[in-house]
Amino acid sequence: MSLLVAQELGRRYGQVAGLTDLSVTIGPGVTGLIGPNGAGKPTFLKLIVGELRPSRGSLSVLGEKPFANRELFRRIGFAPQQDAFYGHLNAVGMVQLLLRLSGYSTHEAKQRAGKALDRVRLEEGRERPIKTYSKGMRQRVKLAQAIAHDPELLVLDEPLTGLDPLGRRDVLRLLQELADDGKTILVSSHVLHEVESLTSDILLIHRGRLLAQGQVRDIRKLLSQYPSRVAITARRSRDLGQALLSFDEVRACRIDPVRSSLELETVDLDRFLARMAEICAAESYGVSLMKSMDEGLEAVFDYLVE
Amino acid sequence: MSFLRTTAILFTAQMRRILYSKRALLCLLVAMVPISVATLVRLVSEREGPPPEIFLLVMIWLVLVQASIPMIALIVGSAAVAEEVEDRTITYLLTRPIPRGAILIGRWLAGLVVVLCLSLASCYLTFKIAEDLGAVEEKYPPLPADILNRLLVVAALASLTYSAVFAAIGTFLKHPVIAGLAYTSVIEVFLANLPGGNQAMTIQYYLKSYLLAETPELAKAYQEHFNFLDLATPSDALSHLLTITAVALIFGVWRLSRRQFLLPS
Repeated sequence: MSLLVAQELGRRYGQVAGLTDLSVTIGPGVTGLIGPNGAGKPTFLKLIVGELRPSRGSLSVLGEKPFANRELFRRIGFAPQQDAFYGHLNAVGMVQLLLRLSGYSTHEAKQRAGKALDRVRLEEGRERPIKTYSKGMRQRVKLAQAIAHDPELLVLDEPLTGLDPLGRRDVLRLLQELADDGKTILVSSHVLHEVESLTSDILLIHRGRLLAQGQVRDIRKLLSQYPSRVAITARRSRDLGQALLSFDEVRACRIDPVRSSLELETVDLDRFLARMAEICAAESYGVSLMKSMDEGLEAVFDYLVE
Repeated sequence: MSFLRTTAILFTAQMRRILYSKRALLCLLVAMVPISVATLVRLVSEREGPPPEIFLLVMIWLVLVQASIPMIALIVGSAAVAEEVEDRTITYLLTRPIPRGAILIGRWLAGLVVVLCLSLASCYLTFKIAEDLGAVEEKYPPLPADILNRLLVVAALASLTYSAVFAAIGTFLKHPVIAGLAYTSVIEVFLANLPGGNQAMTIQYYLKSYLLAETPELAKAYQEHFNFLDLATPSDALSHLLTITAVALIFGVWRLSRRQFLLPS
């Protein structure tokens, strides 16, 4: 069953193409929309939730054209990417207001707002104005207003941004629960592993075009042909570099002793990270920082585009 | 959701939002200008003040109706939609099952209440200062009782019309305050004070007509000290002002129901 069908969907902003000839079909369950910054993810999502009109092609969401479609909006929950709120209201007040605009009575809206905030685990600070909230709390408010009216389709634009690890875990768990409840969820992210922990169905877009659609493992296979790059800062960078070169999965290593840093390429990132965890635990090389240079999808997409 | 219910919910929400905003403080300051200037003039002219009619014309017509009310209406009226766009919260409203036009009407009505309260209070207090001036300066006859009512109605009409026009401008433009300032200072103030038929293109002309056509004391003072008189009839003036308000709101609703908002992430 297709809940969302886009055919040759295009959206232009003057001379700039936001989305070009996108033809996709999305069914029930969780679908990850991934792409680097500027790929056209927000444009696609805004077309889905009826904020924008397509410049060309067609789009059907739950069987309806979405632009300014009031009937459809009852069935959709949207958490936008922008960090925008009614800052003078508290979390309950904002979610309650939006619920009242969805047709609920004051009393019912208040009850539902409370439940939605419970569900996103925003327990403390509910009575404070949102403008005093941390980024993570604000993300939870956005999620709460999206799920509070129990929509069939949830469209979430970068819902994990700004959340601490515990917050990410909570949100991922919540999305999984919602999916188990039969909701259709379209979640965008520019970080592959975030989406991967939630769903195996992904949609990759880049520069406004569909690059790949399918299971994560298939995409992974495409990516595994390319080495991953990792940057490490360590007190004994030279010794660490020599030790790492003995690992089978490490293909190249460049050491900068002045900055106590090294950059390396590995053909098996998971295995390498597992071994690095042991090295860090032993504290023998004074590792203070380690980051994947390919964490951003820009690099991944560069590989795929090539 | 019905149009009326949505309007009522957004009206209440916007009232709260305005009261918590810096805009309200700014509006209060602008509304205080005629009162402050009038108080100052009243104190300075303890012994030999201007005739109360002239005082009223300057303070209420030139300062309040030509400057303060348009400014307050601009600050609050243009925010009806533009504030949601600037704050990027309009996404939440546009993805709810509500008539888009109700966003403009509900929020404009809340703004109108604020503009009305401030402009009427400012008008009333300024009039009282003028009346007090008349009482002290015994050589002047007392002001006719119905002038205050007429002035209050003109202040209310100015609030209604200007706030509607600026709310509508806010649905068309990204920076409505700049456009509103240009409109107020160039078209309204400039054209309204030029002799000739161009005056009929301004809101000021109809407000002036409505005020002066049935207050001969003010009309005489106006003719003597400021400008010649070329007025519409009060009924024409009233119908024009109401038509401008209605047309502005219809255009605003029409625009909002079709507009796509490109908000930065």
